[in-house]
Amino acid sequence: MTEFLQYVANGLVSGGIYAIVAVGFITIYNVSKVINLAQGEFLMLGGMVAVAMIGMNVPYVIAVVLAILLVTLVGIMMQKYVIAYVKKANPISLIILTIGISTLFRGVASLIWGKDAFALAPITSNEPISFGGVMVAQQSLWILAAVLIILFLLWYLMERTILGKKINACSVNPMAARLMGISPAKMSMLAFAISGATGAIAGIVIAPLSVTSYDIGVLLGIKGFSAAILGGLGNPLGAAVAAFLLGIVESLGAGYVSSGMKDAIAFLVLIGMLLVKPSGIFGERSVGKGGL
Amino acid sequence: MKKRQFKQWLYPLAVASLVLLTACGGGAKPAAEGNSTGGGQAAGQSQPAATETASKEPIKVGAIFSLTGANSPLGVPEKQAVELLLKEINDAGGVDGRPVEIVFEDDKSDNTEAVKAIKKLVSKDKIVAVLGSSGSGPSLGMAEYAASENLPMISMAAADQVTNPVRAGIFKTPHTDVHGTKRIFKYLQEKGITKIATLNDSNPYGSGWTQQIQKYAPEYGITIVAEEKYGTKDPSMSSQLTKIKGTDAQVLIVAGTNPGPATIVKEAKQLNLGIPIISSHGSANSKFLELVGDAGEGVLMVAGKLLVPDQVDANDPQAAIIKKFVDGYQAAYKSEPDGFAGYGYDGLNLLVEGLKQAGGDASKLGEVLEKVKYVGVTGEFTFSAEDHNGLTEDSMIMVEVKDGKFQLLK
Repeated sequence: MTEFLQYVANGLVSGGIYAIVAVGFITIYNVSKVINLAQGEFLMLGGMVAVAMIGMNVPYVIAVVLAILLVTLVGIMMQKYVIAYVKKANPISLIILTIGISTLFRGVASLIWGKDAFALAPITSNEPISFGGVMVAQQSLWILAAVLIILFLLWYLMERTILGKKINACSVNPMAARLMGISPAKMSMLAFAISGATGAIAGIVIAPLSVTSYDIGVLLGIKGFSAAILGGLGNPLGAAVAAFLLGIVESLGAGYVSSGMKDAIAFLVLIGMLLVKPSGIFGERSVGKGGL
Repeated sequence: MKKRQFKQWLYPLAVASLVLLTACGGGAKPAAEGNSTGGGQAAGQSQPAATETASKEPIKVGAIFSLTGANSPLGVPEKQAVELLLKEINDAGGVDGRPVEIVFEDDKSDNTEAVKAIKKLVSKDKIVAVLGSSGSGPSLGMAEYAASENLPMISMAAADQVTNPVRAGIFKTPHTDVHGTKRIFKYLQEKGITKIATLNDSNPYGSGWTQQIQKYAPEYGITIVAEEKYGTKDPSMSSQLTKIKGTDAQVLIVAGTNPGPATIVKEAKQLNLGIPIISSHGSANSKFLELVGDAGEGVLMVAGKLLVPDQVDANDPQAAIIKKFVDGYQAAYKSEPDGFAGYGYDGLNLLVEGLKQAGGDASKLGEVLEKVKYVGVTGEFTFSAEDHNGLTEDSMIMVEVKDGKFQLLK
């Protein structure tokens, strides 16, 4: 039983990471109908910038804050100078554009920091905590805390503030929103900023658990995207639930079936679920024909 | 006007025919993944390194390393060591008064690029022998072509398959997974440990280890109670470790290249695994220590002596050459050489030694090298007609991480 709970605990941690990525995808998608495949690179940039700054003797907290701000800025610039620039392009072209940007980010990162992996010190100590025999790293608790805080803040922003209503308005009907004096381009920029910031936070909290390197964004991006699809694209809550589910299935698959097959098992479950319910577990949220 | 049009076509046409010719010239069927020479461009940039000081015609040698891509942490130090030694050899008069010239190529850690590079070196640069490559995949592709062209080759790749089965003229310098496995098992036997768990990378390097561990375990009276795998890019291996924790394994063997093993060591501490971890020589370098931090205390590792140059016994036959290499490398590059630099160093030394004994005639290199005995930085090489690696597990050492440093276990 302890073993089973340990698998679930491990799965919750990886699921938490996927959840932050998935929510980043959805934030941008809901406003601009762009699937930002450079989302994984936001994580990578967050982790790498934090590592680089700590390497330059910047205090931990300041390095983390600066890294988050910098990646947020990268998100804004990406929207302003690339996505907004080609606003007449159809969504497919925009998606391909984001693939190009992700490759660019990876290339630049490998030029600046090289192809080696780097370690980041944990936020609190390295000593694990035992919950009735289930061992959990302190950093894992930070990851879960980060996920919950991000999800709560996003929910609050979207459901309880005027700004959230504006974002929603742009996603439902950009023309009407514009007539009401809301700028869809600005809202789209805001979405990219939020994605950049959450991505950077994710990259920073996960780095101490293993390592960070120029190419960690690829795999995490794919996993997060899968979770977003599984949860029903456009639905943040669904994406988070799906992400945790994906993490737990992976962990149980590795534990009880075969560790060599864990990705195969997780994705088989994903394919199976989508075959039964093509719109995802929670169904794709109907959000009109929004766009830039 | 017509002439210009013709010129525009000439270049692509020439390249295309070149590709066709080299592809057909291969003769024997190269390794499946290595033969798809799709693109038309010649691979990589070549950098002739030797200065033609002597009046006599230089001996041209090719060197293909993974200078970019996933294997670049291996290929870059290999090239640096080779460049350092090359200068020394030519300053000392080269081979038979002829300088050695090395044409470097980058295979970008890719099998196809490696085969393209070796074909280019043979057809364009007319090399007489080749060093490389860094990774096992590219080396296997190259070996196939080199064997069909009767081109002597010395590889720096770990996989046993490069020289097993033995092919004429194909040699390699690093320790194989066979040596690593046997050396670890000897250690376990001394300690009376019989139950092991393994957690290996699912790439060719880790799978090679899995096979050798399975093969040699019965010989040493060892039972494998758990055999787990992980993907090179996996962010977490905690589920595999949880499973291993539930078994009665007395020790965990991890085979992979960084950062995988470092992540495993960190997570094992978080899960309170409670059994010693032995990591393979694929992760034995200073990067590992940097990545694991204080979680690494007590981790055991199998490696070549070059990992702890200052702890090598003064009476060790290798002591002199290790000291010479480490001092020279530090002076030139301001950093400690790792095992990979040593593989490159031994590779060129062996090649030159062979050329000297063959009187500068590269066509005899394959036969001559089979009789060469050479004490290198990696180990004492004794080649034979049956053994083109020439090393034994006794040239490997066991080290323990203590106070953030590698400490030799006596």
